[in-house]
Amino acid sequence: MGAHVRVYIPGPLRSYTRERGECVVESEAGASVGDLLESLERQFPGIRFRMIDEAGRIREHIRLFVDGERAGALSVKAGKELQIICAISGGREPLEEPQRLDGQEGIQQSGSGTDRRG
Amino acid sequence: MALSTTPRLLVGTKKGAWMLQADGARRRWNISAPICFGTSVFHIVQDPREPKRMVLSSKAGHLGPTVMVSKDGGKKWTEAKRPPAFPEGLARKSHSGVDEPRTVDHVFWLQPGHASEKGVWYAGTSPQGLFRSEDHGDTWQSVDGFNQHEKWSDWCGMKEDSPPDGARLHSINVDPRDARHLYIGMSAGGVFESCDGGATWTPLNKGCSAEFLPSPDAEYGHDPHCVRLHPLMPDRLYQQNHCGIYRMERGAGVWERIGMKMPKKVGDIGFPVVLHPRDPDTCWVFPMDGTSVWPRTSPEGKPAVYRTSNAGKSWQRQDKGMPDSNAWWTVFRQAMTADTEKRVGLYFGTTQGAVWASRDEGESWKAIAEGLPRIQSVEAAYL
Repeated sequence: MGAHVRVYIPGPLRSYTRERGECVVESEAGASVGDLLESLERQFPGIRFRMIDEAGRIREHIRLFVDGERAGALSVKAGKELQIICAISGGREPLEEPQRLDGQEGIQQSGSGTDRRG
Repeated sequence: MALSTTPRLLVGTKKGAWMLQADGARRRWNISAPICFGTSVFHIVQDPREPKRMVLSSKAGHLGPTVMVSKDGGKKWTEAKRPPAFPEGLARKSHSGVDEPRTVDHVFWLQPGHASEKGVWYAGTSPQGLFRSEDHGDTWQSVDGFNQHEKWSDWCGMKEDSPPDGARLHSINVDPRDARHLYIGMSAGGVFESCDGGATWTPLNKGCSAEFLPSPDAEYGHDPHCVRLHPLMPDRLYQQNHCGIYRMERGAGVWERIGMKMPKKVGDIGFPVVLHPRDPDTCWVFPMDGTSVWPRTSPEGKPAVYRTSNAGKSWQRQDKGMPDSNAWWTVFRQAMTADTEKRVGLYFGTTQGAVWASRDEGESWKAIAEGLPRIQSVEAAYL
């Protein structure tokens, strides 16, 4: 029987989740962390590759925690919550209104941020 | 809609990208807000076939590499649905004897495809990988003729053989006469050529020095820093290499060291080479200190551009307006470019975050932006 798992999204990945810091994904009984990330990918295409490389390894500066316990591999069984953490430093709130050019139209940042680390 | 008659510079830095728009005289430049702020932008390139489209390569501190695409002249950027990634199961050898999975660390070089192939782009990655998109950069496929070549490990070396910032595939050149005729450069690996759209590849390094290799006549393993094909004379290639400046007439098939005519105190080591858009005999380089431990600064702290207007028979120093001492910066391989104005404008971005411009083909220079992060690329665009 399926369950819902709450997934916490760090700042640098919120460009994929329309700036949402948490979301809920469906989880089958016995699902792994890897299965959860596949579900997350279906909701937010592209997000998985930023965390997991093409060889299936968790990227160097990404940490995954299942119900508060560090998950060092995608095969770890999913729980009720999955926290995705950026190691050492995290994201911050989006910038204020983008700075405009002096006397020029047409160049302004719009929805471009992928990483808003300070 | 008609294109602007003034150039816009696309500047990729260690902490994001910026655009600088010239006024009609190219005297005043307005700088944009940052794009992909905080991420390392290796390259940002306009599509000359559809000038509103651009592609940008980016890597955030924590996350894997990605590509961003814009179809409105850089106002809005969207993340690629499938960035370049090696096929599963490919390995990278290590001196430890233990192979590692081969994965893309970052996308280093972006190149629009042939004029006849709208939507086609190529990307070069670190470590050395070649990828192709047929949908304006939204999804990328491995060029398996290169990435899965049986000699990939021989050509590209082991993990520890990489330059300090990582091994890279760069300088993707498409022959304007033939979409299937490609050249690439690899640091390290050398220059390679494909005549069948990337299905097969041949080393093209004859005559090129590689002082760091045991054999002076090695077939591959060289370190081209930047290779440019002249669009009006596509059988002429210029190369700024780890070991000098070279030119090849493709029919001869041998690199000729044209940097030997550079002043001995300056040498002929550097990263970029920039071609005059209409004169295949004219190009510019930006020498750096490649002596002893390779400080990679301007020689003696005195930056200068050098120009040849006779295909490398002689060189002239161009430094008017630049600091005459204590300027210990340099210019990376894709951080120098030219516009297409009647009096060609030249531009470079420095490792200390300044953009310099010349409105008179290098005869005089002026800083048009300062205080940016370390600059990794500068390209000219017209929107």
